[in-house]
Formats: sequence, C-alpha cells, structure tokens
Amino acid sequence: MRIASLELLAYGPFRNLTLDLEPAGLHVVFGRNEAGKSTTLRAITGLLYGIERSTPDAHVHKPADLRIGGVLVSADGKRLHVVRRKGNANTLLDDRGQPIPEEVMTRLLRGISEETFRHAFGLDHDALRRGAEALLQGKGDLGESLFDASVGGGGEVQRLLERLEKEADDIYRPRGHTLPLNEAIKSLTEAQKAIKEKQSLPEAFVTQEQHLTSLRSDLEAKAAKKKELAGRRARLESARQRVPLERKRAQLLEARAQLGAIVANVARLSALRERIGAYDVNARARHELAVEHDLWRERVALATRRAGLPGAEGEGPPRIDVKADARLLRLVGERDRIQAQKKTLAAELERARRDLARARETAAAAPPEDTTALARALASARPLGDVETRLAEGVAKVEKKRRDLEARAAQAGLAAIPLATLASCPLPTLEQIEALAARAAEIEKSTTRTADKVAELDAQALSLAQQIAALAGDFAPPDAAALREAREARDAAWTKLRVEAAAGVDARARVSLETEVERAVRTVDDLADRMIREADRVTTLARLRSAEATALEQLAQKRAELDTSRASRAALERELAEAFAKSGIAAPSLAEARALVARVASLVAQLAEVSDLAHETEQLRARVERVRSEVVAALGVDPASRRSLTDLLEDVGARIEIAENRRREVEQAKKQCAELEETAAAREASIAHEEASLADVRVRFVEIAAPLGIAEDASTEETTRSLEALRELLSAIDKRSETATKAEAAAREARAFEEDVTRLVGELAPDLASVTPREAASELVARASKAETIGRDLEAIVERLAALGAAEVPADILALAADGEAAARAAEELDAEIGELEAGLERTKRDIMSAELGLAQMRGDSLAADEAAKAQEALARVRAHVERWCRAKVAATLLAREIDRFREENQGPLLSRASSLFARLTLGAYQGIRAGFDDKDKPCLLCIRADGAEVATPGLSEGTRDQLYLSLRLSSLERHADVAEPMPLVLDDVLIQLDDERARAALVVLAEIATRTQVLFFTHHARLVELAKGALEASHLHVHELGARPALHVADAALG
Amino acid sequence: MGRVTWRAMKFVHAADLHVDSPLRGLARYEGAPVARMRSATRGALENLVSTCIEERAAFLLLAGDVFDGGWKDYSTGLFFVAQMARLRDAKIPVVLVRGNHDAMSSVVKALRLPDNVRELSHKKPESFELRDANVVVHGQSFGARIQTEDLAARYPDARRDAFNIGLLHTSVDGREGHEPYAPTSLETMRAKGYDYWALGHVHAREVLSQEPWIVFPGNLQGRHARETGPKGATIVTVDDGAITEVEHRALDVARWVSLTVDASPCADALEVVDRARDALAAAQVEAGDRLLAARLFVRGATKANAHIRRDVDRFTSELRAAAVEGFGERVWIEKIGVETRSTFDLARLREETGAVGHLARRLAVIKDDPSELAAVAAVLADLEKKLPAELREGEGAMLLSDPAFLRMLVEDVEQTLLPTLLEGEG
Repeated sequence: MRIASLELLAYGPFRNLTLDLEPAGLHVVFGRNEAGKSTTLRAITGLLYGIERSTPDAHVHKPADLRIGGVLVSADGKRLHVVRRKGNANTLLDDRGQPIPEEVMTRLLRGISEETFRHAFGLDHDALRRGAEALLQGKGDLGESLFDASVGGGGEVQRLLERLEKEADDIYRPRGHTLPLNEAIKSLTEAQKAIKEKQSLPEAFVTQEQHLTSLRSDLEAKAAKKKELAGRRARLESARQRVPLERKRAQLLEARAQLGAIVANVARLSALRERIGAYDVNARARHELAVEHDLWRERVALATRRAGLPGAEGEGPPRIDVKADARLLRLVGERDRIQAQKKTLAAELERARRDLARARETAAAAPPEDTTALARALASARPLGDVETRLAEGVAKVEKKRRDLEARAAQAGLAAIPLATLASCPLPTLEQIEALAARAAEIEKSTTRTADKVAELDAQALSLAQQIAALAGDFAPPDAAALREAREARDAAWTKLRVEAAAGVDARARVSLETEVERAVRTVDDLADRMIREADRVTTLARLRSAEATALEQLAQKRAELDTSRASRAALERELAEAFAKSGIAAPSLAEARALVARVASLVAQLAEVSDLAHETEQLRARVERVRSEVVAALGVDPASRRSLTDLLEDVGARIEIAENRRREVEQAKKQCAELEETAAAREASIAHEEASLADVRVRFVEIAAPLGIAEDASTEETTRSLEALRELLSAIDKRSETATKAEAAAREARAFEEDVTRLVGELAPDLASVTPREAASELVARASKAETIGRDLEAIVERLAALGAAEVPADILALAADGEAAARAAEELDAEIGELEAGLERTKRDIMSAELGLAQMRGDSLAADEAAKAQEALARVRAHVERWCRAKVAATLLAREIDRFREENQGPLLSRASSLFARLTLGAYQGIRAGFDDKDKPCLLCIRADGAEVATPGLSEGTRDQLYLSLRLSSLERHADVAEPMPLVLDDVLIQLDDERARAALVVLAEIATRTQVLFFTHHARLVELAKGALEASHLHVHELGARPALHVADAALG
Repeated sequence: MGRVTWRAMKFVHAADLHVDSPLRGLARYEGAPVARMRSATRGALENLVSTCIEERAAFLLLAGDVFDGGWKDYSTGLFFVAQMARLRDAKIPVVLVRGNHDAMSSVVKALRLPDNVRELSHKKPESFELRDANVVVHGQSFGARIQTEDLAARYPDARRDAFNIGLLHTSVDGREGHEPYAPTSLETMRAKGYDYWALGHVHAREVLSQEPWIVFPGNLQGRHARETGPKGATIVTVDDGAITEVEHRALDVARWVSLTVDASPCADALEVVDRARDALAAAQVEAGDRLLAARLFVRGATKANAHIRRDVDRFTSELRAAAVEGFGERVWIEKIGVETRSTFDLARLREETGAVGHLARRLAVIKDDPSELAAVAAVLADLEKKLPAELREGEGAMLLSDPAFLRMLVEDVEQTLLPTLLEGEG
C-alpha cells in the first residue's frame, strides 16, 4: 500500500492542503519549526487508523470538523479515495462524505496494527538513539538486535527481557535466602514447626490435672504424718526433761533433813556472817596497833636526837608556836633580800661608770665638714630637672625635622637648591602665576570657539560644493538659436501642408504631411519647455555658488584668528619660563607652577620652625654648662672630668649627708655624759642605805633563834630544817599515845563476839563445842547457807515440773526417757524424719504451683491457633509470590526463546541486506556485518572494518552505532516489503546526527529503497533538503515544504 | 392422654463452628487487620450465644463440627465451655452432635461441658427430650472421622404429641467441595415424620425442603475466599406446634466477598483503582460494621492493560494502599486477580510478518500444544519441588505442571508481552 496523496482538509493549522506523494522517488517533507511537521506525521496515522480521541490537532478546527483525506493505492493498483473524520464510529467516509466500513481500510493495511505501523514503519531520531544504545547495552546480542529492529522498539526488547528476568530473580532464586518467596516458604515451615511445639493437647491437660490432684493428696498425707511425728517428739522431750528434775528434788529433801535445827534458824544465823567479818577485821587491827605502837616509840627517840635536844624521855621539848615560827622565817628572808639588792646596785654602778668613759671619748673626737658651698651648688641645679635628656631629645628632634624637609624638597624636585637658600630663592609670586593662568584660560576659550567655527564653515563649504557638483553635471541648455530653427522648421512644414492640401494631394500623402507637422510642433514645444526648466536650474546654481564664495571667505578669516590665538599662547609660555629662569628651577607647566610655588612656600615656613627649635636647644645647652662648672667647683673635682651632671649632683648629695650624720653623733654623746654621771651618784647612796637595814635584821633574828638551838648565822635552809625536826618530834610523841588507846578498845570487842558464838554452839550445834569460836561461827554460817540453797533449788524444781504440765506421758515414753542415751537417739531420729517430711512438703508445694501455672497457661493461650493463622498467612504469601514468579519467569523464558527462534528464521536474509546497507551508510569505512559469537558463545553482531578487522558493537563510535541500527531497521522493513504488502516508511529527522557525506549516502540509500516501498522523509533541517537536492536526480526527489504557500498544492477536489 | 398444649417458642440452629480454625489465604500486608481476622471464629460464636439469649431461644442445636480437628489449643475448648456456660446461666439447653471434624477430637472428649449441654451418642441414635418445650431431638454423633453409613435411616420415627427434630451431620446426596459423609436422601428424612431437620456439614446455607423443613444453616463464619456472603445461624419460630418462620441471621464477624472490577471503560490504571474502591465501598456498606475480606478480580479488555501489566506488583500495591487508605482496618484485600486484556486485535496481530507477529503466533501455538506446555513446565519444575505440600493439595491447589495453570500463564504472558512490545514500556 502507498499513499498517493495526503489531504489536510481541516487538520491542525491546515485547511485544504494536499501533499502529492504519487510520483516515484524519495518524498522529503520539509517543515521548519512550528510549520506543522508533527501535525502532518500524526495526520498519516490519523488517516489510516482514526484520529486520536485526545488529539492535540484540534486547536484551529473544532474536533467534529477535523478531516484528513487521502488517496491510497494497494499493491495490485487499486485506488481508494477516503476521508477520515474524528469520532467514535463511522469515521471513514468516501469522497461523497458517506461512511464506508472500516474493513475496507483494514484490508488495505493487510493486518498491520496501528501500534506496529507506528513502531515498525516509523522511525524518529529518539527511537534511533535508543535502539543504538540498546545495541551497546546488549553487547550486540544478535537475536535481540534483529528482534528489536523488527519490533521497531528502540531497544524495547532488550529492556523488557532484562526487566522480566530481574523481576523473577527478585522474587525467587533456588539458593536465595532473603528473597520474598524463599522467605515465605521459610516462614511457613517455621510456623508449622511452631504449631507442633506450642500445641497444648487435651490429653496433656487432663494428665496435668490428674497430676495436680495426686500432688495435692500427697501434700495432705505428708502434712498429717508430720503432725503425728511432731506430737511424739514433743512428748518425748517433755519426758526427757521431767525425769532428772524428780531425781534432784529427792536428793535435796534428804540433804535438808540432815541439817536439823539449823533449817529453822537460818534468819538468826544470817547476822553472824557479818559479825565474823568484823571479828576478823578486829583481830587484824589489834595486831597492827601493837606493831604501830612499837614503831612510834622508836620514832620519838630518833626525832629527839635529830632535833639536837637532850634525850630526856620524860620532859618534852619546848613547844613552838606558829607566830614565832613565821617571824623567824621572815627575818631570814629579809636578810637574804637586802644582801641581793646590795649586789645588784653595785653592778649597776659599775656599768654606769664604764658607759660614761666611752661617751666622753666620743664627744672629744674630730668636728664635721662644712657643706655650705655644696648646698648652694645643689640649689642652683635643682630647677633644671632632667635637663640632659631633654637636651638630647631637642637635638634629635631638630635633626629629624631637617632631614624630613630635605626629603620633601627632593620630592618636590628642589634637590638642586640647598635648603638654607630656599627662602631667598627668587621664584615668581603666586599672584603672578594666577594672572598668567587667567590669561591662558581666556586664550584657550577663544581658540576653541574659533576652531569650532572653522569646522562648521568647512562643512558648509563642502556641502555647497557637493550641491553644486550635483546640479552642474554635463548639461547644455538649448539656446535661443535652436528654438528659432525649430520654429522655422515647424512653420515650413505647416506651410507645406497647407500648400499640398490646397493642391489636393492623396490621402496617404496628406497623412504623412500631417504627421510631419505634428512632430515639428512637438519639437518646438519640447525645446521651449527645456529652456524654462534649465533656467531654474541655472538660477539655483548661481545662488549656491555665491553662498560657497561667502563661506570660503569667512573660513579664511577665522583661520587667521585661530593662528593669532595660538601665537598668544606661545608668548605666554615664554613669559612663564622667564619668571622661573632666575630661580634656577626648570620652568614647569602653568598648571604645575602654582603647586610648585605653594610647595616652596610651605617648605620655607617649616624651615623657619626648625631654626627656632635649634635656637632653643642651644640656650638649654649653655645653662647646663653653667651649672656644671658651679658643681665641679663645689665638689673640688677635676674640671676636665666628663662625668655627667646627674652623676656629679649625686656625689654632692652624698657628701652633704655624711657631714650631717657626723654632727648628730657628737651632740648625742655630750647629752649621754651628763645623764650617766647622775646615775652613778644615785647608786652609791642606795648601797649605803641597804647596809644599815641588814644590821637591824640580824639583831632581831638572834633573839628568837637562840632558845631553839639555831645558830645566829644559820642560813634560811638551816633554819627551816631545824624547825621541821622540832615539829616531827612533837608529832611522833602524839601518835604513840593515840595507838595505845585504840588497842585497848579492840580487845574489848573481840571478847564480846567469842562469848556470843559459844552460846549459839551450845544451842544449835553441840558437835562444834570442841572447835574455836571463830571456826564454829564459820561452820554455823556455812550450814545456814546450805539450807538456804536447798530451799531455793527445791522451789525452782517444783516450778519447772509445774511448767512441764501435768499431762499424761505414755508409759513407753517415760521408760524411754529414763534411758538418756536411748532417748537422745530416738529424738534425733524423729527430728531427721520430720526434716525430710518438710523438704518433701516444699517440693510438693512447688510442683503444685507449677502444675497450676501450666494449666492456667493451657486454659488461656491459643498459641498453636496463632501459629496456624501465621502458617496460613505464610501460605498465602507463598501462593502470591509463586504466581508472580511463574508469570515473570515464563514471560522471560518464552520471550528469550522466541527471540532466538526469530533469529534462526530470519537471520540470513536480514543480515546480508543489513550488511550491504551498513557498508554504504558508512561510506565503505566498514565492509559490512556478520553473525559471530561472543565470549559466552552467544550469537552476536560483528562489524567488519575496511581492513578486515572485526569490531563488536561496544567498540563502535556512537554515530556508527546509529548507522548500524538504521541498517538493521531498514533491512527489516525491506524484508517485510519482500514477503508482505509493503507499507509506507515514515522517517522523522533520523539523519541529523550524520555529517554531510554520510547523510548524502543515507539519502541515496533511502531513494533506492523508495523504488520498492514508499519512503516519506520528514525533516526540519533545510541542510538535509539541500543535500538531497545535490545527491539525487530531480526525478527521484520530491520536496514538499510546509508553511510556505507557493510550494503547497491545493487539492482541486477539496475546492470543488 | 389429653390434647397437648403448645407454647410459642424460638430455637436456634447452627453448625460448623470450627472454632479457632485459621482463616485461609490471607497474606499479611502493611495495614491489614491481622488480629481481628484471627479471632473471627470466636467472635462469631459469641454472637451466636448473644443472639440465643436476646431471642430468648428455647434451646440451641449444633449440628456438628463445633471444633476443627486440626487445632491443638486447650483454650479453644475452654472458650467453648465458657460460652456454653453463658447459655446455662440463661437457662438455655444445648443439644449437639459431633461431625467429621470433631468426631475424634480429644478436646471434646476431655472437655467437661456444663450440664445444659447434651451431646448425643455416637453408638446409636438417641432421642433427647426437652420437656419444657415439648420437643424431642433425635440424633447421632459421628464416632469416627469417616462415616459412610446412612445415619438418618436408623433414626426412630417421630414421637406423637411432640415437636420432632432430626439433628444430623451429613452431606445428604453429595455437595460439591464436601466429603460424602453420612449420606442420606430427602425421602429417608421425610419418611421419619419430623417437623424439622437440623443439618450440618455443608458450609453454604441451603433449605432443602420446606415440608418438612430440612435446613443447612451454613457455617457460622466464612473461613476462606470461597465461603462468601453472609454466614450465621437459622432462627426457627414455632407456634402451636408448627413452624411459622425460618430466618437466617448473619452472625459472622468477618465477611468474605469476591468482587469483579470491569476495567474495560478505564483509560488508565488509576481509573481501575477508583472503580475497585467503589466496588469495595458498596460491599462494605452491605457488610455493615463487619470486617470485609475481599478477593478482587480485575477483568475486561482495557486501555489500561499495558500499564497494569507492565508492573502488576505495583498495581496491586496501589490497590491495596487505596483500600487501606479508604477503609482502614475494615477491609482486608485477600487477593487481587489481574485478568485484564488488551484492546488490540490479537487475531490481526498474529498475521503480522514482523517480530511481534512472530511472537503472537508462537504464543498461540504454545497455549494449545501439550509438548510446548511441558517445556514451559520444565522451567518451573525446580520451584515446584520446593513448594510446601499445603499448596499442592486440597481446594485451590496450585500445581505448576497442570496444563490449565500453564495455559493461564501463557495467556498472561500474551497479555503482558505483546502490549508492552507494541506500546513500549513508557
């Protein structure tokens, strides 16, 4: 089928536009941007398959008005003119506007679906790029490439296959672990396992319940047994305690009977215990008093001897009273104090005399130096302060300022002139320069004005000259003579006509004459007209020439003025140079002159300041010298010494201080001499007084001491000792008589006790009559004490027996208890048995608790049911994933298999045609392509270079890959044309990536294909149109330009 | 003997409770109401007991399969006991027979049922008299899982002056999807002269006869996608010794539905999702406040086919997400069956000479050629070996080597590959 014409009756921006696609050859449809190229492409599909429901081409015409017409020619030559309207049904109309069945079109299309038509028979730049890219991605897999080229998917097949395989692999792989299906199977297995583990079988529940019951009865049995054993154990214990108590009570009663009358008189005997103690104490005291008495007797004898008194036993020594004693001691103290005082005074007197001698020596030493001259020199130096530093700073400052000025002068270009002479340098004044500048400005202004005028006049003159030239040209105005000549010729003609007319010439001659007259009249008129016209032109020319002369005159005048101004300016410059000549400074420009003069003035002013500063500094230096000579004189040092004034002044200060100190010392010594003489006299008087007091004290001492046997000159210690010995003797005599009295009283008391005991023995224990009263008393007390103890023990036993209770203890137990060892053994056995029972009870309680817990859990939990639900969920997941996996897996497998199968069936013819197309499209850079095998032995495409080298698709350049894909697509389409009804091939800008040469080759190939099947080549590149025109014969190329009216054909049918 | 006086009464007839048996086929996904689904059978039993109490039922009949033989938690039994105890407190007697599922159940044997529950013997037919109501219930439990005898045949004839009920777990003369246990016939049952036959075993509600009434109430709670629609019990009103009303009362907690979405008018997948949502909304209104477990089929020749097929997983996820967003925990999408077709003419495509035509022709051949299908099966053989037995057995079994399944797959491939190749992956 081919499209003989496409009629855009009302579609997109078009109305009644017809593309005549009938002639054989390549049809290039050229539309610049916005010209409607895409619309036209859509119109082709719209015509064949119906207009899209949501078409973007209804912006000018209403959707219902859209119409695309066309003439379609089938392979067997049948023609069909149809019109397509937009709608849901009956959209195909015949040329009278009547609906015709869609089958008519379907038959013509021979089973090619819209999608196939669009993908397989249409190719645009993007699809080409995608297809070439897929060749690269798929590494030129042969089957995939051929399949994809046939589908026209632009790599669709490769992507689809890859996606399906990935989809399947993402769900399940035999050795996958984390994939959804593998995981779902695993969860199912786990849940099934968990059901078994977590189930709580009813049998287990019942068993557990029975177990619980038996545990509870076991618990009761053990508790009962324990209770019984504990009772027996208690009874045995009670019996074991009672037996020894009874036995002890009998023993005690027996012992009490033996004590007889004592038992009833315990209370009476209780006092005896204390009296025995007193008696024993008394006996010890009597013995001690006897010893003491002997001791005191010896002491009295000894003390008498020590006191140095005659040893008459009978008469006591003289008693001394406390007052005499004190007086004697005070006198001894007084005597000692006076003697000490006297000694101190003597030492002080000695020291005063020594100090006095030293002071007198000091006062007599050399007098101090006179410091008047030094003080005066110091006074005149003080107001100057730190004058030397200030002087040094002043000098440095002057120096620095001078250097700065020099530097600035050098900067200002005044280096040649010494600074000192700068002030006197004969420079022009600022006023002089201002005056010169004012004049210069005036001259400048007038020069500019004149120059402007000159330029204006120049232009004016030029314009006038041009106008004159334009008018002047080569013209020759007719002159009066010519006019006259013409008039004569006219008159002559007219006369001839009149003469001939009168003579009666034939009609033809008359006409000729009349024509001649007319021509002559016209010539005269023309000449007259020209003379009038040229007269105007002459006038204008004269006016212009006069104006030009005036302008030139003015121009000459202004130029003279300009020269004058320039001369004035030069004169002014000279004046300025002269003004500077005397100063020795090169004359600057007028503009700089002002600044230079100002700068010199400023330098001169600062120079004056520096001079003032230098003067001040000199004055300071003179003052310093004056003071210094004064100080040198006062100090008496070498005037040539160069020590600084400060150092010299320090020396002066030191000398004055030394003299002052010396004067103070002498005055002090004189004052001391007077004081010390006074002190020595006072001490001598005191010593005399103390000696008198001492003599008085001695007299009073002898008065008291002599009777006591104390020597007149006894020292304080001796006096004290003598007094102590006396006091000791008197004390010993007193003690001796006291001891004798005490011994007598003790003997009386002992006798009374012995009599009482003898009486008690006779009454209560005659068996003791033969022992001493002291022993008998002890025995009586012992017996009473024993009776008391027995009584208490008996009471305690009675009490404990009462506490053990009056319960009946079975005879067998009592018998058992009687045997202590056997009873202890029995008790131990019972304890062990009870302990075992208790442990058993604890165990059973724990067992019961855990059994109860287990039962409660079984009652409440539905773990197995939960797991069963989980298993069902997992199973559902497994099912869903299996379905998905099977779908993807089968799709991928079948697609891959069919790709191979398609390759096997079509490989030969497709490859050979693609190979030759590829060689041509690459201009022979490649010989062609062939089927080969890749490193995994999969069939793949190999391209053969001109030199025979083989290149796999990844090794191709991008452009060459595009051409490879194009070759495959074109060969696939040709193959279709070979075996089935050919369909128009619609290409949309597929060559834009190619260089001119390759594009030309491609266009030739397309033109060749166009001889077998219709090729419509759409482009918006004018360059491709040019290339096509250059490459193809006119009869093989038909260019249709969209949006350029003259190139469009208007359908006659539509107009009719 | 004087004329018997009748009291007006209601009784409730339920069967196939299958308490705590798992609901099948529900794959968990984000937002799915897992907990509510799991407790559905218990919830339905609670509803049954509450209904008995509210309706002041004279008694409750349970026609077998209270328990599912397959579960193992004792708490299941105790839950049942607790519910029966509620009826005891309300003084409502319960008469039950065991069915094939709970015949051997050790749980039932071990259970101590409250004294208002009477389980009829499995050794011989037993007639149990409910004196207050003047009713006699005749019945016999299954003694073993498989019961091929006609139990009904040996039931006694009706007792005069009483309302006679036959309680029986049976498949009658055979019902699709149910084991042929305790087979019997309508004639046999009618011949007994009973007023009502309370049957169990068949999970779909069915009234076999109205004279006398012979009724399958269906199971109490649907458990998988093939047990769709309202599920519950039958409430029978008796006045003056005659049945005046037989009402089916929905007591299910979760409702299974199977919905078909016609995608043919849809231009894209979003429109399909919208239509599916509308269908779910309608089903949801019908189900009331129940949980809806829906199986969705998307069918029809549609322009959206290529889009849907390009990524079926994404499409189903979008659908699920739409359900979660629109209905939250009230809807569980059990499964989505994508069965859409392309709008293009497959026959015409098969005539094309190019690669797509080649593929279309080949797929058509493979579909109908057993040896080609066997080659497809070989691709799946490895996985098939690893699939759990549960998937290969019973209803809805999935056999990867089954020619019907393989044909379905190839058809699916046809509807996926061809449009993608023709229209591009987008």
